[in-house]
Amino acid sequence: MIERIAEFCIRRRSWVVGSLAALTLVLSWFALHIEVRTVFEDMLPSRHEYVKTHEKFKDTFGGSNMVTIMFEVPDGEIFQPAVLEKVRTVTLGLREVSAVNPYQITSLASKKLKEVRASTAGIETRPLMWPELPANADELATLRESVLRNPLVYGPFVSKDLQATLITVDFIDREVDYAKVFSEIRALVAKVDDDSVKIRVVGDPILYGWVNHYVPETINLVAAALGLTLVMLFVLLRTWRGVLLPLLAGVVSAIWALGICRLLGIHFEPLVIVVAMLITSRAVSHSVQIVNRFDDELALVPPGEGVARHAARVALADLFRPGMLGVIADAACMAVVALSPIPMLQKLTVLSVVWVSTLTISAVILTPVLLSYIRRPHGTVHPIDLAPPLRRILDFGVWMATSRFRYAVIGCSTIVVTVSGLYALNLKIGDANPGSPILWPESTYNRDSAAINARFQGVDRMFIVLGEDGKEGLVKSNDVLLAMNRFQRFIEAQPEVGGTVSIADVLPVVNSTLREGNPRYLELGDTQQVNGSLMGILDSVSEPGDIDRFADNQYANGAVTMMFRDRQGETIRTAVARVKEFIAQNPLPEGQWQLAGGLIGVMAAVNEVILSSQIEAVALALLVLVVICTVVYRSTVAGMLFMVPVIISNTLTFSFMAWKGIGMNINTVPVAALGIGLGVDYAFYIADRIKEEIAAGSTPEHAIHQALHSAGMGVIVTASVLIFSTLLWWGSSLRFQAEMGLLMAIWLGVSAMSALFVMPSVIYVFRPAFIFGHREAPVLGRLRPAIQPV
Amino acid sequence: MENPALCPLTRNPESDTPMDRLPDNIAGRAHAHAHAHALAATPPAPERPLRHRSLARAPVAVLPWAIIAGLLWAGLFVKPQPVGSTVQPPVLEQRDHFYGIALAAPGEVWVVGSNGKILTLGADGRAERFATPTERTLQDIALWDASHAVAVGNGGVILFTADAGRTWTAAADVPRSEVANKLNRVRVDEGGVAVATGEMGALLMSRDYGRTWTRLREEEDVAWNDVALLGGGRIRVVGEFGRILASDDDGASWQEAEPPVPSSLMAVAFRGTDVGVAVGLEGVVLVTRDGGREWRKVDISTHDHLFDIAWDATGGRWIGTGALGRWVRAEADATNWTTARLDDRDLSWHTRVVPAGEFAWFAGANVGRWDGTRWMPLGN
Repeated sequence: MIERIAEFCIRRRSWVVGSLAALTLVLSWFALHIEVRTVFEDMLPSRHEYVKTHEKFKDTFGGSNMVTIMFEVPDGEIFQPAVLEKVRTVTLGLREVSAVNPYQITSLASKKLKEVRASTAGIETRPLMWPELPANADELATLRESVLRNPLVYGPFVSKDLQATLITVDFIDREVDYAKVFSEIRALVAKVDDDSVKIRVVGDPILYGWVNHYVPETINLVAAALGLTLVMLFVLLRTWRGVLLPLLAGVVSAIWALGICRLLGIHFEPLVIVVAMLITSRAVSHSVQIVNRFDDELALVPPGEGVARHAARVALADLFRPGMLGVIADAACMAVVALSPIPMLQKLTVLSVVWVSTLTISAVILTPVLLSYIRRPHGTVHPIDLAPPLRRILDFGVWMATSRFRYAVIGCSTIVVTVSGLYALNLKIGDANPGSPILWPESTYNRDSAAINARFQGVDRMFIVLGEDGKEGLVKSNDVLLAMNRFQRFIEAQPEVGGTVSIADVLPVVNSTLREGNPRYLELGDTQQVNGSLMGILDSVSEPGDIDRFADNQYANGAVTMMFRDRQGETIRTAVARVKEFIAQNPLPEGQWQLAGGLIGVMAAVNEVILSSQIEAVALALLVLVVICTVVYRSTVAGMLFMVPVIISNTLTFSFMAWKGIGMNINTVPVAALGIGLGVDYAFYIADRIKEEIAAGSTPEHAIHQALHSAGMGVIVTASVLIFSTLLWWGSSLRFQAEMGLLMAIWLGVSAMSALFVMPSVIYVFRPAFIFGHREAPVLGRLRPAIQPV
Repeated sequence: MENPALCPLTRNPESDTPMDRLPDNIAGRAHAHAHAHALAATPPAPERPLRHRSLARAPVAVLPWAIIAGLLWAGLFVKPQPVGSTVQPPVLEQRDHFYGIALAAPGEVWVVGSNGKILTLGADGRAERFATPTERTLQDIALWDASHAVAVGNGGVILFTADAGRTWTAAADVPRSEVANKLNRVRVDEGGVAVATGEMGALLMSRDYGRTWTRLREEEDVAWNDVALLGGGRIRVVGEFGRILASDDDGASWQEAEPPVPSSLMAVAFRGTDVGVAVGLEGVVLVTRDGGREWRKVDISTHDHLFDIAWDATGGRWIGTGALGRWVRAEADATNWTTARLDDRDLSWHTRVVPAGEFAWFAGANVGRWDGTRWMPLGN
């Protein structure tokens, strides 16, 4: 079967190459038109309870794309005309920024920050600094006092030391284009930015704006990595084919994948470039294996007519099974990620499965077919020969596998897997450190974020909703108000929760104001009657939109908004667990508690989804791998055998993530999932070669030697090349990409090591039947004699 | 079944059986050597009894399927649930208001406030919470001695202790109004006497360290905000609408003077039996020099609300507090008043001030000490 395919491909090579070229040309037109952007809504698991709450209430109680701008004076106070003027300019300017929700701009200079005060006519509310700035020193002093005595402003919007003030602005989620918002806000801030005031801007649109900002740098890194890969391949393989064919395989599969995704309407996330690199590295790896095998065959036959055709056919036939198996196993392991309810991961899965699957054509078939065209295959382009030192490493591998040291290898591997497996349990779900893990701690964004969180109650918000649709006025009820109040007190005990706010914080101010400002009445009323009338008074003095952030128009649903000082997985988990604990102890007689909106709410949902599917992803990917190997080799032992390198590379990589504090979040999950299938390719090539050698009548020792010196050479070349080029990513301005580059390098390194050193020992010690048995039916038995050396 | 390759699985790998025929030092040498050596056909392993072999091979056959089943099960059914860490609420919480405060021992105060809290606080920041049988906000606390104390609060709740705060008991049968029952202040005198003031004309007296309480006056629509017990049955009361009451017979009869100001009076204190000061909203300060029959308004340079006044016997001066971080101070004769803010950036309100030697404790939106120049809040 396999040799028939090989024969066919080589015989009809013009036809094969021609149709592939045509297809590539067509798909490249589509590939060039793929959209590169981050779509926020794709990150949300839309069926999750929290996300439903978020979607329902985000327009009223605040979405997850809130941007916070802090104005900070180095000394003195913000109550200076120049500073307030800047705050006002930016506040007004924000209305012009695209996708801004104009009702959700809050600052000293907006109409929304008001003071409740008693007057001769009863009670009134007055904007603090709207529409006009304070005109003179007296008015400035008045403004300062009204800020200081207003707990809803002093603390939340003006820092306790009076050196900083905030503007918060929310966006209409479905319209927000991060790159656009980022540049518009930066331009707006630049207009008022001089050295007198430090202006800091944070929020998800800004964060992803930074990611987009670094796309050109990322592209340079990709180019550099590619260049390094090619140079190293050229030096190590000493032939042009060793450089050009892997490059071609990578490019063709990229074009196909991007083209197909464009046709399927899937866009490309800038952060996913890492995944693209990972898959391209597979393409290079497979292609190098085939070129390497081609070279090995050439060494066995003298130059002559049709040598290239012959060697190409042998390479294709020999590597068809491990190559296909590697690709299919990779693709199938990745496909498991599609079970995740997060659209971004589903789309990414489609992208990567398509991409990996194209390797079957671009690497496994196209490379040998093109090899068959080579006219003078013998000889090298340059005299530098690095093969001898590499062969010494391979000899070391052979020695490890065939000496008594093999038991030590197996023993050590078992210990390493056990220890790293246990250590990997420390892996954190969600972000493991304060600040965004996408950027370096010393990046502008993370420094800004830390500065704002240090001065204020917290940038990131979560809201929970009390109430029920259709129950008008429920929020005014005593039960709900008291529950809110008790809940706020309860949740604020967590140090990472900087503060909370709800309508139950506003009523006490009204109450105290009605009682001539007596603070002994700075509390909710005892009875429904009192609270109802307080609410009535508040209603009568507020304008449309004032109550929005606390309750909906019918007062059927009210929100408690919590401000978080960081968004670490542990912080969010603890907060959600405590919210649930409180709800369990305090059921509402009417209406429901609804979790949870805002950025922290949706992050909680994403983290819960990732956590609950973590075991599922790893277990099912392993299962798929085991089943595929079992079917292909018709042996359950084969399934077990190929789990070994996968388990080694995964436990080690997860331990590395745990050690470096890289959490499992929406950005790292795809890389981790892709890595599961990654560990196994190299092992396929080595084991399959051993099998073939045995089938051809070799002794186990000779088979291992041959396998390591042919397939093993391909492994060592591709692994070293790819490790060095992925390490280039360490220079990225995006911490995420740098860490993922390092992670991939480790992944490749560990899987190469386990394929070269561990697998031969395991095979030699346990001698599985699917490799050593069935001598009566060698896979390539009929092909063998033709190429045996004389 | 005859395949010798599987045999090593069933025997001791260290034993020098024919399967291990290759000397270890062979490996790693030039492969031609290895090749030649290997060409010597593998000698067949000695036959083992069939039963042993199949027994030993059973795990090899079962294990993979067990692993596959295990993976499937784990993949389908293992769903880890998030576990959060536990949080111990701090003794001083963000949301706490401390309306009342009393000196318990040198360098130690008891404060009462939101959520039924009674705390003992040290100047060094040490804080501990007493268990109390209420969640109502407590408004004031007073101590007779090291073991006896009483606290009053919202909804007419009165708690007393006779064992230095270890147990607090709610007083039973406290006289209540149908309308409103917030008790604002409590003052104590020798012999277990206490008087609490509050909404709807509440003026309650206890003579047994806070266990039982009786009304001193009928209910009326006025809030009595503070009381001064001058000894010998003399009681002075201030309240809403600038009203001032006096009794010289333990509350059996009352005389009411014409209110000197229309705004609410919030606190009253005496130096000895004659000289007294009352303070109230909008910066009102009244001084009496005849035991509370005649009051004269003193002008001070603020219109901020004042909520408390105290006589500092050690320092020989008056000290008061109010809204927006305000303090007021006067020498013993209460004529010349000075006033300023505790801290330029702390405009918290305080409902109580308690002199304690060179310091004064303030309680309200936060709790702290003030030494005349520097304000040192506790907690955050």
